[in-house]
Amino acid sequence: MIDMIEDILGKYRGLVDYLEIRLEEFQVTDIAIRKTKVEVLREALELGGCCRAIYKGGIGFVSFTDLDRMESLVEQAVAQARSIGREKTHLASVEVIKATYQPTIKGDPRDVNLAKKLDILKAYNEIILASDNRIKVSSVHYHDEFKNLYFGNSEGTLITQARMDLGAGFTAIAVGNGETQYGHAGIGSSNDFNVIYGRESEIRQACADAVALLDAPSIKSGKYTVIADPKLAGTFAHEAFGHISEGDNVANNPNLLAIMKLGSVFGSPVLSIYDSGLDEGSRGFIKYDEEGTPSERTELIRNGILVGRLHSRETAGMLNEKPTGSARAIDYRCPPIPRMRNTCIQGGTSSFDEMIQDVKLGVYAIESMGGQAEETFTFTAARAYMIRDGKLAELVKNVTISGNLFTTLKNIDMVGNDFQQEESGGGCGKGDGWKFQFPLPVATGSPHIRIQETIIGGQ
Amino acid sequence: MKPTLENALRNGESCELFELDTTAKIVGFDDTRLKFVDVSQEHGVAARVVADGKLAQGYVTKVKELESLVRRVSANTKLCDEVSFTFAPAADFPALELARPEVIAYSFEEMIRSGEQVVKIIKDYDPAIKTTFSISTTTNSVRVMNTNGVDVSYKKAMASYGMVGQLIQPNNIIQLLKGSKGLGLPQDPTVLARELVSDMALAKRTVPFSTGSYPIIFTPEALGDIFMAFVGAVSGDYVAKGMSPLVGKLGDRVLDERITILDDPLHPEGTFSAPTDDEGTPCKTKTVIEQGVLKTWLADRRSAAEMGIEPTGNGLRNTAFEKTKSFTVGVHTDFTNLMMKPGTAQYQKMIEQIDVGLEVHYITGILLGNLINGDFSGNLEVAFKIVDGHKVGRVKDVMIAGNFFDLFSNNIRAIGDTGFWTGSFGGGSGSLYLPHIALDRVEVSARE
Repeated sequence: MIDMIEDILGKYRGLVDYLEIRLEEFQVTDIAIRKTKVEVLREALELGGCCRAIYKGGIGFVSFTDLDRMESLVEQAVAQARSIGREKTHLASVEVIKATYQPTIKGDPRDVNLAKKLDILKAYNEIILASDNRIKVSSVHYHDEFKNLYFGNSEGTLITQARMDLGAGFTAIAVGNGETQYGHAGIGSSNDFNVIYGRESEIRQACADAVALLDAPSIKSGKYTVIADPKLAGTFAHEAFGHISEGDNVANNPNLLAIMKLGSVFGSPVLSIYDSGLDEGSRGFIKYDEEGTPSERTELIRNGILVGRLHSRETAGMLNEKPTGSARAIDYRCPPIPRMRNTCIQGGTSSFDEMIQDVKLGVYAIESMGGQAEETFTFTAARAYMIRDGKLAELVKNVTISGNLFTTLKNIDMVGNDFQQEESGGGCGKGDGWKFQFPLPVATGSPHIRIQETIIGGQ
Repeated sequence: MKPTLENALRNGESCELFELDTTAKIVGFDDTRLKFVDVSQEHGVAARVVADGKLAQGYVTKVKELESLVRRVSANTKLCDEVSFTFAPAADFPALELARPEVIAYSFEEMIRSGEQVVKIIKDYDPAIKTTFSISTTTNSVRVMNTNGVDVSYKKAMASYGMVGQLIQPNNIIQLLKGSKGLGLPQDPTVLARELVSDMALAKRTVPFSTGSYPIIFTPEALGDIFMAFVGAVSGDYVAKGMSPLVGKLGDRVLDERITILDDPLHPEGTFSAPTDDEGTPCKTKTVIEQGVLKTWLADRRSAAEMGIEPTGNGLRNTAFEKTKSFTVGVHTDFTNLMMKPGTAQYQKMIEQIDVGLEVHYITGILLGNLINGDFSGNLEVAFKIVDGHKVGRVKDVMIAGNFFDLFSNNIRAIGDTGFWTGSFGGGSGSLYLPHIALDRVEVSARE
């Protein structure tokens, strides 16, 4: 494969400022069990590729599954770029790399046959269905993927690398009192099938959560001090802050760039946020990004000060900053754009007791059913407990947290000393991501954090 | 490819193949700069095999590996559970013309010209608005065949465009989206560009708003978001498992009697129109809600068998949210073109009749609610305050929470007399045809 890439690059490299070809070959296994039945057992093989040509700032991009047409499509990408390029190509320089990378796989899902995978998942499914008579539906999803990526560019970089991704989710669905409630546990890894084992207690907890929510009252809307658990805080770091740190959001946007000026104060000194591709085993781990740039740990906020952002070579070049190995793509259908890897709020010094003790009326918000952010972010906590007079009180539901990003970052007044890495079975759907069955693998990490003056919508 | 598909069919005891060949052309602007010209070509086949009543599946992009895939999938069936459905029987399919030559022939030059016009309109109004624009055509060739003798294929061409205008002021980010997708050539995008500009003029002014209960007009785009709380409730996938709040209510009035909703895959303008669904069941038009009464569920073959009803031709392979057809997605129940019958109210009158209220354009976080219950919640990202029958400015930090079936049963003030093709998330998918709807008392909470 890599020879084929090198050969075609050699023919066309002189015609444009920059040319790259990426080929991907991957195999996928999906399993879904709902209620008592295996609803999906699926294996797939995909082979596809893409080519990006840049000429005077104009980009020609083609993607294809028919490799016999590769050369003619590369020629077309070159022609497209040449037809629209009128300005200047901004690509920050990176070292030329010739490398082959195989991750250290601790447990290879390809070594585990389908029957074995099914046995493991069915056992978890039975735990869900047997847990409580109000758990009416179970949903167990499993996805593994092994990918070989071949990358070459006109500067001489040639990289062959392998990637593994595994994600699974276990959902208990309770029905009663005329409503439906969920409890969820998720796992993920980029190097170890064995993370699938030993999840019984988390799954039992998810079932208990779903059932308890049926009887819980809705929270009364209002403004509260919120303590977010590490999972919710990690989602906040990703959705509310991470996306705005992506270089493509600021590179050609002088007004946003003025707000996102490096050196500006974004939070109190207790707050530090980073995004790392170096954490082996995390779903956010990547050795080289989809432009062949080595990954790194990128500091975004250090002690409340904005110190960095996530770049592709293009966005780094436009802002005269350094590429961060963040140019990622779900697969060959997408050109690489700046995206997150493992986005974390760095551990602080406060204990949970210190955070809660002086909260007269507040909310302890746990886990997230996801989030969405523009300037205002919105998340729904999977569940929450009221905090009354410094103590955890009753369980409440329908807890939707919303706020202005910039105000909220400044309202984070305590950061816990209990950092937890979170590998969920989900992912990130930025840009065209929602066109795909499976979003980009990412991860988050955070300790508990405390946020003052948070608006909560309930009923 | 034909011989290979047919050979592959012979390898499975009972087998179904879904073949999709897609070509897309896209042009994108980043602010005033013509940034990219993309072409994508994608071809793949998904296979489902039933042996001894048990189902397994797979897909490949290398069609020469299809036969071996089908053999592997066949072998995997013994690990699976029995299913109660069978693949579609041979049938006649409706004839539809879905690939207009002018859409297939739509050139990059014409796309670029549209983009230049849009960018100019927005920049002429205010050069500080950061603008992105993309325009595309997609041609899908679909073929569904199975061992029962189904062999149906069709070709569809769609054109779409989307624009984002973002204005950043101190402590205020305004982001407006407009988009359209259809089977014809793109309607003049400058019309939506002018709408975006006039919304921006209004949005620049932030006005205060208090927590309370108000009349609210939902634009078709905003309804597109809220309707996600309805779609699952009539889907066989949820009904068969007892998860829909509408279980047991077939024939009951579940929404206001002014509401009639069709699933119409035969509409000549619908981007989800097709002669067949993605499992070879002929498509047909269904009235799902007739004057508020629930008339039918929508069901793919699996959920139909589980519920003991006939499949309705709604077994689709759509990605979530964007609803792009893909061989990488399994068959599930979904709406085709969801069409709500317009009412009688003139849009301008709907506004004029409000003393204090809101017009909602775009809600964020809608997916985070417990949608299957019909519960939705979110932040009113773009919403305008109405005072004495006039829109006066944008409200910020206002959240909405409610239940679709409550709000649309007892609370409707007026239904607009004109329908618009839209979709969830700013109109992208083009699968919904909705009017404006004014509701009477909707609770919203504001950060004051």
